[in-house]
Amino acid sequence: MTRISQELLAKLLDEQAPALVLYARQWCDMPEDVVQEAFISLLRQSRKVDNPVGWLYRVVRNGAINASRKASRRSRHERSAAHQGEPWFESRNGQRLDAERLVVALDELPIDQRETVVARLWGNLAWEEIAQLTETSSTTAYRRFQTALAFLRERFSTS
Amino acid sequence: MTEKDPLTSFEKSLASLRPRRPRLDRDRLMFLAGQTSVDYRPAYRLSVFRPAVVSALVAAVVTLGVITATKLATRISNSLTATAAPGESRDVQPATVAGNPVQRHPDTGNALGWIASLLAGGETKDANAERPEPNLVQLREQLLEENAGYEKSQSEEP
Repeated sequence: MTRISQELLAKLLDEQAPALVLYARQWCDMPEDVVQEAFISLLRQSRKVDNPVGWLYRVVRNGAINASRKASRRSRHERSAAHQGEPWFESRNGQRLDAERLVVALDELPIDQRETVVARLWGNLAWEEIAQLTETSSTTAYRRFQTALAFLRERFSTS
Repeated sequence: MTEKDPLTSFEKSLASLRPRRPRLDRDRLMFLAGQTSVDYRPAYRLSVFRPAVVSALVAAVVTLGVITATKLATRISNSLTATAAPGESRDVQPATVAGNPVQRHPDTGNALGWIASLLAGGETKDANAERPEPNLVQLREQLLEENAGYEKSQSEEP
């Protein structure tokens, strides 16, 4: 039985942490704290975690939802303004899509579609993993993804 | 819908955007990982050993409790059945009036003796099971007859 080694932890931090923070950002305003706590919980597990990535996404999801409930209620406008103050994506020259426009468009999606898009495109989770994470079927997860993509495609084509 | 479906060009464009690198306390996490790897084996052994020890202790306590309770019950049962006055038979005979057995109403000692005998593994039959149901009418009549006979004898004495 092995637990999380430093090598595995470093790999998870490099490959999954940015997407995990983006995923947690769909619910709360302090996603890095949520992800930090998730990694600490992973390290304190007494038993081996078979799928650390899926485990982290579940813990991050639960932590972000709890954090959003604890936070004071703010209007949708205030939440959007806060999002614009803190970039979600790295800005690089030559990228085809405007990251800020994408953030605004993502924020207009329902939360179930938004989290599915984030988990699929940037988390690279499988449909079955997304289904387990959102407690739905893989078919439902796929349908939400396609609906969200259609909305985003329309937003970027009309602008 | 399969995992191998290629991303459309639009999906690829979206996925090309990289989420911003978070400001996590990487040093603290790496330290914790190293710390838990050092403490892992003793904790693992302890986590396996501890439930076995606890289970053995609980079993021992329960066994001792049962043995103690059984011995105590045996003592109680013996003391209750052996409380005979000097000169009387150790066998507790039911009281009788004019040859008819009178039922002893169960009292505290009788019930306690039943419980004690149960714990001691004795027979659990009711102490009053073999005694006939009281016939209070017959008893009354017998007492009245005896009283009448007594009064008659008293009146006939010089």
